[in-house]
Amino acid sequence: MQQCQICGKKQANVHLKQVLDGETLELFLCEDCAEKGGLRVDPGLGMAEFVLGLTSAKDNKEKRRREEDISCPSCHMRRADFKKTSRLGCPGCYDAFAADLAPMLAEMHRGVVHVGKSPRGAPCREDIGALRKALAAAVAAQNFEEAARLRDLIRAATAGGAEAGAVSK
Amino acid sequence: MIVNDLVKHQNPWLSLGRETGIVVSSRVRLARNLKDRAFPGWAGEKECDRLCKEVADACGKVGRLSGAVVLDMAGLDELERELLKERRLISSEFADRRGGSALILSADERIAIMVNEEDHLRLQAIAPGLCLEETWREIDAVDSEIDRHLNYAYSPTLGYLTACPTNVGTGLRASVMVHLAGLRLTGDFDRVMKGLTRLNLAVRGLFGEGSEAFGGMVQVSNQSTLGESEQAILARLLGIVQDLIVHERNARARLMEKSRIVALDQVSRALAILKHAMLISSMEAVELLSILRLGADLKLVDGISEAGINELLLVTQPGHLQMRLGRKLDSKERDRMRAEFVAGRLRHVEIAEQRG
Ligand SMILES: [Zn+2]
Ligand SMILES: [Zn+2]
Repeated sequence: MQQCQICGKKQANVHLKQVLDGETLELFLCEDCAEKGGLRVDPGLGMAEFVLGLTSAKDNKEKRRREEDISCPSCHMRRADFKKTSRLGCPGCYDAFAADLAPMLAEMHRGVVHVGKSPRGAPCREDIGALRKALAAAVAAQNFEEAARLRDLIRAATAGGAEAGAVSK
Repeated sequence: MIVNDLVKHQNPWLSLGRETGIVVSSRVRLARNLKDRAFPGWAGEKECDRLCKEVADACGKVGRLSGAVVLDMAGLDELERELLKERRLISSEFADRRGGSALILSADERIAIMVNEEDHLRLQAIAPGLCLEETWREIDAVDSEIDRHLNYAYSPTLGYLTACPTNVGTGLRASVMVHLAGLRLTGDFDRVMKGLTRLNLAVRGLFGEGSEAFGGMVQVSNQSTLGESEQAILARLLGIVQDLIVHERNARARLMEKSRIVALDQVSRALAILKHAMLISSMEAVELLSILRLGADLKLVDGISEAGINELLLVTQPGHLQMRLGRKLDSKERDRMRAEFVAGRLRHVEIAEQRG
């Protein structure tokens, strides 16, 4: 019987699997730990976010994002506005409503990660790919300090337009 | 007025170019937004105005857009909007926009940029015949040039960020307008349409979203924009369109082999009504001209080319008809003018073959 990889106590009956750049990352969790982490699917960061959410207190904010009254820090669109119109308020909304968007995008599109043209000066996909691989490895090795550092690097690199900055309205 | 001038021009994407008989036109559209700015539907009017100016300034620096006109949507009357919509230069949604949005239109009408439609920029290239690769290259180049002067909202994981998640990623919507009149006459049309929706493609009629497939005129476009490169999206669509062409060609060949008299009958009836009716609605015009277009492809009619019929399909639309006459007409007057106009154009068109 598989034990929960987080608490190491209870029986793992949640199986998380994520493929990052061809590498499969797996986690076995008990239901309690899974719920505590709040399963967030975010390509490239999902599982690391989840694990780090459990292990670092400063990420507790992440969990609150799942609550009903979240709104976009950049444009102040509320989750209810988005649900009503199915239109986002600003580029930053993709971060704010990531949890709602992930299953929608998976349903609508053939993939969940962008492939194709990028604007001038956009971070190179290859660099980010390497960072993601390193992140996956760090999580697998339960080296959460390193994982957190890599996560922040990826965040910084992928922020383009989706930063929580001031949005002019 | 510039829009008024359009009515005097032949629409380049309907009238010239490679005549496949089946593919009317190809269009590639890109959705783009500016970094850290609220999307048009969520931004205030002042912000929309400001953004319009920024985009117009940036487009002014783009070589391919030299000689382009910038049309402030607030300054256009109902007829002008209708005309632009019928020429497929703006969407129905955009036609209803007032202040804070603009259309940037290249002199040759091949490039149209809607500013503050659902996204900050909707760039389209449209051309006659089957030319997805060419229209993509054209709009890709314009997009890259604009990118030098504006900061696009982009995430390496999700690509170009758009107001609606259905467009995120490449922001690319490629469409091909096909004329499936043969499949309609053989009765295979519905089956083929069902197959298309199963392939996860959007299928629409001649006049965009929500319009019916009058006359077997169908616009096929990709739905997925995320997870595949532009090239992959275009290649998939092209493959499907080529299949459709084969189906339609086969249907036309079957018609000529097995039911030549039926085809001839349909075309003769369409021509007779078009030449002699006193009132023709725009819907009826599309249906009948579509059959005539099939007749021209099958060499059953003399005196008009497919390009000529393409043009008639456009200029018999309400906006074009009224613009030509320079005033608003009620629907009865329109039907009368349409019938008169069509009869005049088709005066010398005859059935080519002896009945037999
Ligand atoms: Zn546990
Ligand atoms: Zn927002």
